[in-house]
Amino acid sequence: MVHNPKLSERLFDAFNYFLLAIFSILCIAPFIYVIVASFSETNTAIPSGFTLDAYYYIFTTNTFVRSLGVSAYITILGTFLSIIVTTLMAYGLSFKGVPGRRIIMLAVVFTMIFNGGMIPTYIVVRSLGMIDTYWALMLPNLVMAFYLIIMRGFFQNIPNELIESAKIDGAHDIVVLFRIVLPLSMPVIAAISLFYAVGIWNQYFGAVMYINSPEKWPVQVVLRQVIILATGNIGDESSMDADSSFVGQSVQMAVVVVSIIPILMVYPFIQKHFAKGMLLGSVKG
Amino acid sequence: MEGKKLSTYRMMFCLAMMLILVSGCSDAETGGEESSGDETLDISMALNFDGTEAPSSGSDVEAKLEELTNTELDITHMVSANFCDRLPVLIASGDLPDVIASCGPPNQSYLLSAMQDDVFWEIGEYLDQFPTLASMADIVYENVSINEELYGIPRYRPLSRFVTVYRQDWLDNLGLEEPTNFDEFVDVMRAFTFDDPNQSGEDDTRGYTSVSLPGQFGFDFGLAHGSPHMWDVDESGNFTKDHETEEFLEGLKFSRQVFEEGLVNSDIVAPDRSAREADFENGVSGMWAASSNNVLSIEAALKSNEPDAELGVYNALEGPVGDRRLPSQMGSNGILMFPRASVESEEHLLQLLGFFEEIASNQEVIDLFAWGIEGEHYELNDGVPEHIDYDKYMNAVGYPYRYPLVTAPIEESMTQGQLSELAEYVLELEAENDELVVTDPAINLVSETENQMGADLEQLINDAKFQFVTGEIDEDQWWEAVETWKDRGGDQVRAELEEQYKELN
Repeated sequence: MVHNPKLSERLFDAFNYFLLAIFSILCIAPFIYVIVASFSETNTAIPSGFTLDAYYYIFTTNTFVRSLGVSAYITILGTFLSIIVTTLMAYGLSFKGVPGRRIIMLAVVFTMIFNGGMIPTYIVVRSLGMIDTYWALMLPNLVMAFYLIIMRGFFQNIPNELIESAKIDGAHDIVVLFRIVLPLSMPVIAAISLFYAVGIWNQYFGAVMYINSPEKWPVQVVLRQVIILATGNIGDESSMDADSSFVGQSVQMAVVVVSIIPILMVYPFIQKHFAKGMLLGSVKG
Repeated sequence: MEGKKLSTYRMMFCLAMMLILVSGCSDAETGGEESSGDETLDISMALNFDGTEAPSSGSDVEAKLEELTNTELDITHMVSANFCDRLPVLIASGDLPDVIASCGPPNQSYLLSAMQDDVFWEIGEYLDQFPTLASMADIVYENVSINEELYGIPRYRPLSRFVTVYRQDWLDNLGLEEPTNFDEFVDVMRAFTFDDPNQSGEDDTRGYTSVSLPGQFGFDFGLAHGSPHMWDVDESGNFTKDHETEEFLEGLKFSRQVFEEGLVNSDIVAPDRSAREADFENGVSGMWAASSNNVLSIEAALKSNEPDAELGVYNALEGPVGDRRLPSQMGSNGILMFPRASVESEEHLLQLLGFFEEIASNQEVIDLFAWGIEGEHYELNDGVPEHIDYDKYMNAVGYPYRYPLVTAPIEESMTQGQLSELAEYVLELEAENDELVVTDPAINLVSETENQMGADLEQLINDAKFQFVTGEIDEDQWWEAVETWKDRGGDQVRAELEEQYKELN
């Protein structure tokens, strides 16, 4: 379709691009600042010089490297478990004829609006014996109601003719799920996996609440620890003896960089699924 | 084509999924406390701790402590920052051990309401049965009392750790004496700045290094000029904040004059303590406001850079008003509380208090805390104990056991090691500091507004303080900043404190 846009349209477009560019810069500037500051030799507001000292420092501390491992472990396993359970439940709920479907859906939506709050959740986690275990970081948020609803909606949009034709060919529900529905649902699976992964990677309050042993800390808690150390102590005179060592700003920034990079790296691998059409050539019209 | 059978099957499928959801994978805890008669006392505790690695529960230090006190200890160590977040949840969920620490001074609102609801034992009435615990100074107890009631044993800390370290060798080079009042203080700073105290022939020194961390005795000399410490209260119960007084401004004016003359670092606003400390340790500046508990490490760092350096230390100068005054701190690092849910009888409570009495009075236990285990953490030289590796001792004994558990101080009763002259002098100063402190009448009062906005309000005043010292604003603007502080919540805080104060007195 070739047409010569009018000047006014061109102006309008230019203005749009300009605004969007400004907005993108605003979004990315803090990241760039953090990255630059992490290589800075000085602890001033304006970074200067270039040194890898901060990175050397954090990778020579045991805690930090181990916590990266912990975070990777709970992120991979937790996302995997979450996706399996969410998919199966969404699939079951996507059928029109399932008895009790409405009640189950209501129950799911109910949890979105009302939740027990911190203390009852703590009591549940404790009574299930999950205190100070990795399960406490994965199971309390195993299924997010919102993601479940998105996924169910997606499954419901898959043309029924497809499923029925598979049934006629003798496929079972489970077979239909794995052979027909899932391949078509890669975009939503990818998106929701990413949401789950980012959620688990970034969670820290759960770890603060349920994890006692420092060796089981995920990276976010260690990050916070580093920052608290850097800004002095919170408790009254809780620094007991010797010199409470203050961590420099570049180390704080380096810790931030190292803790966001892994999860940023995941995105490009999933990106292709977002771009793919949802039902490309699935139903012959 | 939906058959009845199929959909039932699907429903089962959903239900199975939900079941999987709600059944957690639990590796059941071995709960249940069985008291084994009079034999050994089982004590479960949740304590905050400031080390990096909590020891495993079967550590030999813990085993020895259990053996000496005839107890079975089950201690959960939580890093202080997390502990503070978790404490309100632990209290609300009733998941409480026999002994639990507070997070710093016991003045958080959740803690106060728990105390009003009788979640914890009031222990004031039992104290006189435990002479060592009762021997702590009254003010230490007063500072952690809520409405005259005591809900835990304070863990003693010196009331004030403020000291100033200086370069004795520089003074000797210049033929000067340790300053005792503000005039001499300025003279020494000038000499340290302009008279080449390190005899390098270059202008590479500075009188004083200041740091702008809130609460650091870096640059507000208001107290020495006669202002109150934090709050002041008159007979009719009216509160005045320190920075509302003329005297406080006098202190700031002093700082301003010193700043203008170039006797201190020009970047007093940069809140980077490590770089400032390095100034002193590398021989750039001649004075530094330190904390009595890190004088020795400062000395070690200084001597490693300049082997000939000699460090001197004093605690307080005579101010223009003639008194030597120091700000008072809490005098304790949180309290150890006894929840009624787990400590059901008075008898049980007395047993627990007895345990803390014992670790503060039994010589063997005290020395275990102070030195660790012989051959592992210390060795005897001519009968005098000496740590083999101080860091190792701190990680195995100091952080996990001594600092969280010791209430009444053990510094005097422990077997004394070989102390350097400086170390002994620092102990003397610490003791003298107790006499010099100016107390804060609001230290055990609680203001909701302060809890919510305290940090912002402090920041506001801090900014104004530095702007005044560096000459960016004048007196009128300083008073404007104080007015802003009042409007933003300072007056609200005052009103809340006054109300509470009236209730108590």
